[in-house]
Amino acid sequence: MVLPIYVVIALIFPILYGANILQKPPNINDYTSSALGELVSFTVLLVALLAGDSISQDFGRQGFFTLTQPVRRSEIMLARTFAAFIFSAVAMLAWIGMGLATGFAFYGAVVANWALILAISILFVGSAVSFVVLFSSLFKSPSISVVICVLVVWIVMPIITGVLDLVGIEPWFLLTYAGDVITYLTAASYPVHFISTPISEGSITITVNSYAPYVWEGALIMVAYFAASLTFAWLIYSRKELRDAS
Amino acid sequence: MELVADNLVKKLGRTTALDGVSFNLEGKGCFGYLGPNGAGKTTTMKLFTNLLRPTKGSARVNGVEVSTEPAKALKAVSSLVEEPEPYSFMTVREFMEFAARIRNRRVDDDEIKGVSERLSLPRPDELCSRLSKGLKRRVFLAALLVQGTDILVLDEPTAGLDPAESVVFRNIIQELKKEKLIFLSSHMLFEVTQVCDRVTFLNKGKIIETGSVEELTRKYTSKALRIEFTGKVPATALGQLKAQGVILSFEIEGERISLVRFDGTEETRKQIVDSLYPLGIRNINDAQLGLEQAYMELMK
Repeated sequence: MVLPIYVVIALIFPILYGANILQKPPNINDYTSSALGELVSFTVLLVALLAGDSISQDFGRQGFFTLTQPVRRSEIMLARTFAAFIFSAVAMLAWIGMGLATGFAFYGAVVANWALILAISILFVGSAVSFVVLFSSLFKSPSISVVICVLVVWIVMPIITGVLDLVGIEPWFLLTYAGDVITYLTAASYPVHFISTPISEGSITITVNSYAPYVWEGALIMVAYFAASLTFAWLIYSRKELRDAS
Repeated sequence: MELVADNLVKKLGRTTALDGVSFNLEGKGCFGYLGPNGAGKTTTMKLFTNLLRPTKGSARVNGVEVSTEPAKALKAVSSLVEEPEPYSFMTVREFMEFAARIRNRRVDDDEIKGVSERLSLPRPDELCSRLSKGLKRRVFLAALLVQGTDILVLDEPTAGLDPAESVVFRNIIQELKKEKLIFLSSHMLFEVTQVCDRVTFLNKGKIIETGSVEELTRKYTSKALRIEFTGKVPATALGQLKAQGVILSFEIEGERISLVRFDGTEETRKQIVDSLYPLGIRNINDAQLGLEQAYMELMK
């Protein structure tokens, strides 16, 4: 059920442009940026729904079967993480593929950074899955872990980004911030790292700051999320006891 | 086939659930683990199945410590602890096949059919998520049977089964114990009497008695006398003996019969008989109280 909805969302802009309901952007870069505009947030949602219960399901009644089998918990965790990664990566690559293919159909070209976009996207999916698996290891209830994952990546992280933009602090510790690299790579020229724009309304002037992560910085944040999340998830999962199950 | 508990201590928060439990179960047979709720039975079972880790001591399966090498130790063990459920997204057949495959076994249709008939399982293509609680438990038991392991750890396995299912399951245990080591916890004494060869009594996290069903029954039976009087039960005289500390307690089971508990020594027994004989005793026997009475005595 999750995957068809994800695909439908991925197809919204190409269909609207293809059917001339929306006016096509002037160039392939703007088109691709528009087609992939919601890619990161919906991929994170997809990952949360897919992997949000990957570990927490073992702290319920099914865990009395799974955890009593002669299989290492690290193997169980890695197998589930890998399965969620493959599924999410295929879905994300399909979204990007549709964006690139329809762009080629409309403009006869693809964005120059398409290979880098694909590579960073795979890295992003890996880090998102690991992060969600970490959350899953923290909660006993699968449904609570899924809801918390969705809240964190869809509500909490964007709010933090908004607040930090206002006070001028780079949100270098947020995965969603790192994920912006993917959309920025569709632009003809990569945005500058920091822009500060004063906005005046009468006698009040507000300065709005905006950060764009460097490509290497985004990749580094993703790698850090991947490594740290998996390590902590493994530490928690391998030590957790089933004192009682709901 | 061996399960060894070596000075097992498990603290759950401030509570000491197990306090220095040691035993050694070896070879084929069914070993009963008896105790009231909260005695530490399930905690012990969880320590042997890697669901908990000991605070002190070790739980070993065939010489392999469960907490440090769980994958190796659990190769020989199938378990039913607390209220497990089969995977909700699998059918009955898929779950049984998966349970066997994880133990490097393959089950054919005949085996699935045989187990299904014995446990009255639902249709093999039924989704486990659609089953009732009792049926889920039966499917889980079926999965344990097809795993073909040498050791079964069963925590109150007949809980949730109806009387007919319980009988079937006890019959299966009777068969399996000829080839396997079965470690079975229960507070249903008649069940343990029927299927177990040896019994360990546990209370407040400590082992308080171990022995064969026969030994324990004999031992505790000898501490009670069933006395039939020629006339009415002399309740006043029995009350005086109790007040003097000669007997521990007495129950009046009918107009002429009384069950008298004492410390089990020959000296006290003689004293009781000498005191009551002048009041008219028709018959006096060691009371056949069985394991249930032993349990009640031990848990006091």
